Amino acid sequence: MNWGTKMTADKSGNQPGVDDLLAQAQANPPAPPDAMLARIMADAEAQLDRTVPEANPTRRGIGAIWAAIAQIGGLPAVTGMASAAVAGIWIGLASPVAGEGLAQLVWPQSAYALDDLAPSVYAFMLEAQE
Amino acid sequence: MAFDALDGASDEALLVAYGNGDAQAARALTLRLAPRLFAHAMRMTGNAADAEDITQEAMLRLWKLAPEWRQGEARVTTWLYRVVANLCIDKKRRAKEATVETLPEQADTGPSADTRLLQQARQSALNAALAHLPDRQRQAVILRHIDGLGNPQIADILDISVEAVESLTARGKRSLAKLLSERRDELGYEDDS
Repeated sequence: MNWGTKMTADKSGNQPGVDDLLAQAQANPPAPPDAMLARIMADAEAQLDRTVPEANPTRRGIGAIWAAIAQIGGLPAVTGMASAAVAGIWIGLASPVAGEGLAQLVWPQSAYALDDLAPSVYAFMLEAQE
Repeated sequence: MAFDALDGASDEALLVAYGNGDAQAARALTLRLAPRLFAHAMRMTGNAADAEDITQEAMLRLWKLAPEWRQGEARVTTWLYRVVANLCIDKKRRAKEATVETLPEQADTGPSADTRLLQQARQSALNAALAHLPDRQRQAVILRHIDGLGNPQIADILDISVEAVESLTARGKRSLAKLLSERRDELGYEDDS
């Protein structure tokens, strides 16, 4: 008897061998359970909910920025912060000596002039030139 | 992606679509690949519950990998068969005394009851014989002769040369023939010598 490429006769006259048994197995795969397929699809959807933002980094970046803006009060807060930043730059560039009169009102006995504590950018530039 | 268009799309394109948020692509991939993985795991482990767990785990790993998947780097089926192979081996190591179940065959209305019973007995004998092969031989024989993959893809899955695949499948089939020949009377075969 030979179960390999040389076939063996069965009682009904057929010529089955290992190849035939393997072919039969290929033609009759075990059916996948529907419940398993449903679980796999549910996994896919659950995973999608978690990973889609990561799959779209552009969306994630913009989303994160908007979330941060919403946390601090939305667009009005951003406008206020931008105004304050511009004002701060202007104060930094202008000579703080101009604000000395106000400083004298607040701290009349101060031993320091405001210019000593917060020299203007022009003073730094002059020092750099020297 | 429209569901009709999914049928013609490659596995790799579907996976990228899923990674970009297309749930329909995941459904198409599941219906296309999970039955094949389940059948393979079933042949490898001989246990339906284990095969279900392994298939679900392999697909879950695929879903997690999807956002990083790049087309052209690998075939999805190759990657999945590798994962399934590793999971089957892990499962077997954990439960050394696995029992071989009779695989549930698809309903067959053609042959008579006697013939069907005989075919079932032969398939059970084949599964039992497969279970006696060393892991790599069994995997190579199943991939080649039951799953119908080509030798180059099997070589990628097993990470060996095509020649080594040919050698594994040839030795596997010889071992199967020997194991099955011991049950020839029980399976309704006559010696032709």
